[in-house]
Amino acid sequence: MFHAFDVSFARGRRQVIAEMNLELRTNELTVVIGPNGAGKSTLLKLLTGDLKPSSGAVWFDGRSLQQWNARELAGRRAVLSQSTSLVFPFTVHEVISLGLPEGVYAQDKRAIIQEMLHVFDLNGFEHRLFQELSGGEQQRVHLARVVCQLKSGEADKSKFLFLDEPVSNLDIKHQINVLSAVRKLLSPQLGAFVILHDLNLAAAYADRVVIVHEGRIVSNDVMALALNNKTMSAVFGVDMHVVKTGTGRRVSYNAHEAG
Amino acid sequence: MGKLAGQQREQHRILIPALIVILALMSVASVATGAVKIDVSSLPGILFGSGQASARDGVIVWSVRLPRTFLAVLVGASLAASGAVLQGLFRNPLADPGLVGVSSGSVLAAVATIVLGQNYFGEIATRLLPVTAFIGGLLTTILLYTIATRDGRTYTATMLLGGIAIGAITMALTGVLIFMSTEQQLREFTFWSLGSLAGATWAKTASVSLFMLFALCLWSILARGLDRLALGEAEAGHMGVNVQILKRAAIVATALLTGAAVSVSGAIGFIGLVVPHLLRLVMSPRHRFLIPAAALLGAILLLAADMVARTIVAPAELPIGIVTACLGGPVFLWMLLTNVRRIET
Repeated sequence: MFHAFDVSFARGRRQVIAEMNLELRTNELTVVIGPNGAGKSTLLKLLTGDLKPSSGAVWFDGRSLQQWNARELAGRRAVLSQSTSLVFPFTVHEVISLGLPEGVYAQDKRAIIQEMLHVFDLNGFEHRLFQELSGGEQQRVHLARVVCQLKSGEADKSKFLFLDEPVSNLDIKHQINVLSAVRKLLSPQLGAFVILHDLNLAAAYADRVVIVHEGRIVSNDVMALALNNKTMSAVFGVDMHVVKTGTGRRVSYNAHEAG
Repeated sequence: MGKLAGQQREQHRILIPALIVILALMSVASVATGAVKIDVSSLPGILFGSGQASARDGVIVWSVRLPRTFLAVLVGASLAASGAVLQGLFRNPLADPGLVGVSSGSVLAAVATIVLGQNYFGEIATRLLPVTAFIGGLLTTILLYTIATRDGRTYTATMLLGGIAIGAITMALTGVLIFMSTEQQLREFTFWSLGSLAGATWAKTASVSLFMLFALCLWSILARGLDRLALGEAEAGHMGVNVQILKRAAIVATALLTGAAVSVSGAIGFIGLVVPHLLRLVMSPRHRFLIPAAALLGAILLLAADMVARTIVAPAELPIGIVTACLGGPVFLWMLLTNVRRIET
């Protein structure tokens, strides 16, 4: 389990994150939404250990994050950053296999990579040069790399996937494809923490929605309760209408600012 | 490129053995070539002590050509491998120990050892040459890395300009030292600034190979980490790389290799820049294969350059740095032009 206890983070004199408390569970897809600059990515970086909290602490599996070494942690949690650059002409296959830990047998390695290529609709791409792919294709390759990082190693230990806007460059078909794939990965040993901008995708795929506004968590609830007209309109500054549909919720809004 | 990339992955399986064969042939050619021509067919006799080769040829091969050939191989391999590691560390194909001032840092340390060290400590100072050259290279690499990297990102323009600045400062200090020195030491300035393999001895060969062995121990630690570093420091960290240790190991390896090469042959430019770049055009950039392939190709190119240097104006000899600059300068320009957009960001 991931726990954030009273986590604050300041950049210079600006308080980016203020006293956040959060618990991430396995078998759950936690979606974080919020306007630009709300602190979503900073929260993710605090949870992954990229940033150190100014006060408070992040714990994973009963230990403070500082007590984990990089290698140990890599087998238990994987991270997709918002933008990742790559130098040198690696092929898609090579980029994905960078995610696999050392010591995976060649045969397992091949099977995992084949599976990832299939899951992220990258069949036939393995020998293409990464740098020559489109932005959306590159994003899917990074997803494949990040997911395969958790595909080997101890099966009975809890693992977490942190994705910062994983579908920002994708077309609608692949947005659905990727988020469905992430849902399928959920298990009693695996949980996911995903930042999304598209509220309807959040409504369609989240188990739990965390709404971040001005460095604070204003709502942390199961999807059906989190998405309500009042909170959403206040946070996003636009009149929002959350509509129940047969299978879940839809968010609609008018193209003018809230009065 | 798409199709080419498809076969790229397995090319190291052919490329590395092919490079080994070429290196063997080049080494034989290097032993046979020079002011005195030695017939290739008489080489086995000289080397293995049978046959009726002349005593003169024997002396030339054993005490001149062979050490020189070995030294060229070791220095070429060191320079190219350190270029490959440095480019991986800086995440930048334009990094080169010569261009970014690492070599000139080693040169300064080496010249200081000779000029100052001999005054105070006598001959013993000369024996410490590889060590001081290593320290000089180490300090300049750390300095440059600190200057060019902010928030885990290396800026190409800062790296190249910082390298020029460090190069200018170290060269100026080297100049001051040379000015203070005796006439004999003065003559050695060309050796340090343009490089030469003349005066190769078995002792020098042995000392370089010792340093290469140290660096070799780091290779396997470095290879996978440098691959992951290509995605950025944060990503490498997410994938389990201890980035601080990786960077330190890479800096030490670069300084070991460059320092060893400089201490026996002066500053020979462009091998470290050109070789890894050419290889990445035809093979996978994975460092596990790139670094050994670079070592092989670097050895081959330096052997070729040395053969040109000692035959083209025979019986005189051209500083080898001039030959490598003639090859490397245009390639560097071409790389700049094809990378313009990346460099300006």
